[in-house]
Amino acid sequence: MNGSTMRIPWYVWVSLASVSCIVAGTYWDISWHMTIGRDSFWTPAHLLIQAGGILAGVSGAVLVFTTTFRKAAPLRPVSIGVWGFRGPFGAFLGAWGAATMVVSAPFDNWWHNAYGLDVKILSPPHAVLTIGILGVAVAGVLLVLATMNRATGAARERLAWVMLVIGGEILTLSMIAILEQTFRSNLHRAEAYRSVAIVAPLMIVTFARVSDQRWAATIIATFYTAFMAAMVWFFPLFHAEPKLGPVYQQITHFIPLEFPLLLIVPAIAIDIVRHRFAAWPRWKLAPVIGAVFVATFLAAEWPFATFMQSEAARNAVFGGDYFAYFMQPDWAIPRHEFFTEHALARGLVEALGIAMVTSWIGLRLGDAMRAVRR
Amino acid sequence: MKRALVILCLVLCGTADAHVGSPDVFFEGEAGPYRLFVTIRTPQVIPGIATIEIRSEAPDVTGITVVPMRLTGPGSDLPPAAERAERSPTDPKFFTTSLWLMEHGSMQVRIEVTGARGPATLSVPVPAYAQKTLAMPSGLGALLLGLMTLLALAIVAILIGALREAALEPGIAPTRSHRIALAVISAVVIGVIVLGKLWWGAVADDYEQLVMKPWNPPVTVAGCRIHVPVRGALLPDHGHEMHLFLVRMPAMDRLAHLHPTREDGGFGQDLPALPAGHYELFADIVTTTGFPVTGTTTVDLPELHCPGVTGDDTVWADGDALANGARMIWDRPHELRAGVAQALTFRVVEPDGSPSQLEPYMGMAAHAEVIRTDASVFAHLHPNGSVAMPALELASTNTMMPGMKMDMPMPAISATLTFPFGFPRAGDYKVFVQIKRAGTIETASFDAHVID
Repeated sequence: MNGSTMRIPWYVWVSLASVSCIVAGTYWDISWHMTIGRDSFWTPAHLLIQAGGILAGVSGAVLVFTTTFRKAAPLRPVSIGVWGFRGPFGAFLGAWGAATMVVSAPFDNWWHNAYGLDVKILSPPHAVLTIGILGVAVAGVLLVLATMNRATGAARERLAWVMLVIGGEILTLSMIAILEQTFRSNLHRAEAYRSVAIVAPLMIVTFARVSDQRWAATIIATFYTAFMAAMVWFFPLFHAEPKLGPVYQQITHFIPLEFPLLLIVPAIAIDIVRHRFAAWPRWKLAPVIGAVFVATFLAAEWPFATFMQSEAARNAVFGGDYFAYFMQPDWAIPRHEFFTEHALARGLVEALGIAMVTSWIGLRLGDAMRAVRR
Repeated sequence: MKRALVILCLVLCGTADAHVGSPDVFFEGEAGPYRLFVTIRTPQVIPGIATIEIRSEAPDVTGITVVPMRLTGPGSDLPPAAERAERSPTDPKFFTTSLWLMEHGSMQVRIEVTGARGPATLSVPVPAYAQKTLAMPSGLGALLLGLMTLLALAIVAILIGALREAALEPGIAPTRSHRIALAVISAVVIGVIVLGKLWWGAVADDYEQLVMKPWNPPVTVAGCRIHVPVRGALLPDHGHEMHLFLVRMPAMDRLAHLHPTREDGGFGQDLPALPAGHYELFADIVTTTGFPVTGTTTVDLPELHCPGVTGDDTVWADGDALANGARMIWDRPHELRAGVAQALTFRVVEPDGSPSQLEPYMGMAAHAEVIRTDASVFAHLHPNGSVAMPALELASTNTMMPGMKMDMPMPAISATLTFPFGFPRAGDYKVFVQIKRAGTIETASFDAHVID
């Protein structure tokens, strides 16, 4: 079967399902902690994340074992060797990511006993889990990527769309990881822009660079925007109440995460710049992309954050008055106030520098990913 | 959480401990028509799980639910979904459940009771604080270290394999070695592990700051005057902002229960006449949030020739007996076991065996102090348990009542006194029970041997 007539292999769909489970599960889990508070290993959100890990781990193991032990395995010519086993790069990484997620469980359990239930998203055991999830997510990308890079014609186009969806999902996951830094009350502080500069240009530029799509960055950002906005509209439809106390906010339904940041604006700008300066080398293109990203994002998000703190945003569309049960009434967030900032200019310059570096890394990574065949 | 700690620091500017070595809460009181004995076994870490045990005196309680809330202010009026207590299959009057305590500081467990006599509510204050951090068991540590090593080696091997072959066209065999890449990737992986360990250490250090440490006030004694430095506002407990106990160690043959008053920089008190010796001091205070704190320290006193005690102050010496031949009898259980919640029951009887007539002592039927012989445990109890009275007032009203007096008129006091308590660990203890009869404060002491 040549590249243009090939069917999309099963592991591409499994990869997409795996990453989708992890993104949806992670979102749900954080909403769960904001709304209900108390959880267990068996909450639906955790099960969804675990399902993502299991899908990646099992499919990775199946691919590795069949490729290793069946001489005529179709993936054998496009496999890599690790400790005598053979399989696609993504299969190994998926199995490794799933194993890392499993290892984080006893560590996390002990952590809760030693230091109490962590009330922050990122604790050392959660970091191990996150690394595992990252492994699974990147594995999904690699399996789709290698297949896409080997394909031609219609199959490649279809795989490119799968790739963009996964890119959007990974951008969403990355933005969720910096949720605490980008909460609405933080959006007039440099910390928020530094955090976004670390994550967003890297993800957007990498996946846009991999894709042949003219508007790849815009599509990825659109996925993030649509997903986050839809969740703001969808989650409050379901009844829920806190099961931990003290309770500082009256809650009767699931609390969604924040309304999406306006990444769509810099994404459009990035696509225009990519197209306009397509022939430029990476070292020349990256500073332009970085600068355009920070300038357009700042121009869009700063006034939008002001809007989000206003009365006009306190409705079911923007979710401006959704607060976690543990947010005390005198905190800045429920009071619709911004945290104060004393070094904004310096922080924004730092964000600019970071965005330029992460843009370069994104270009470099994207080029490297285009070369992946196995 | 930070707010609660700041408030504590305002008072103590350091660290503190509610009671000493006895973190669990024991309480006996009325939820409407139902009399309940409540035990709250607090977690060692916060956030952590508290275990709640509730025994109903009457058999007509059909259901009990509990919720955690703050004792005062925001968070004290919106309950989370209630946790239903399970009724014991063998003892229908005994209910148990568990509850997450998510924040440090003054909390309350609100108990909703349903039964044949209608619904009722009872709030029990709980001082929530981290007691210690736990070390990782060596077996688990070895397992995790092994798994981490395996995962680290695996990711290095996978990445090297990918560098070697991932970009090759199908069927092409690798030719290049990647020794430099191997070194770089290995260094990065080791770096990540080292950074992770440093982060872990920093987080553990941060948490260690939240663990309550003993409050050891730098007490000074000049002649007959003792000064206990304390800053900030406090709630009066039985009409006194501080209850100061001096116990001569190691014989525990003298006990002074005093009530220093405000003076510049803290609290001051004229000490009574006391023999020379090494004294253990326990200073009970309650912060404005209802958080009880016991300061501990020691002083070596010369023989003090000072005026006698007045008011609610009292001094006991080994060998003192109740006046007029009266006796206090401890109806001891067959054995005293560590961790078992029970009512310590005492009877005060006249020489002819009839019940004595008791008067309120600082608004209570009696006070008891339980002290381990090594001074590692100190608990100040009342007939309703180990809960500080101002905290109880806050729990029942959720409003601040500065200056409240607890010595309000009381109904006739039974000569049978019960103190809900559980000895926290095995060892030898001294139990002092203090009552008031015919206008005189009297103390009886008992030895207690507690087994595991």
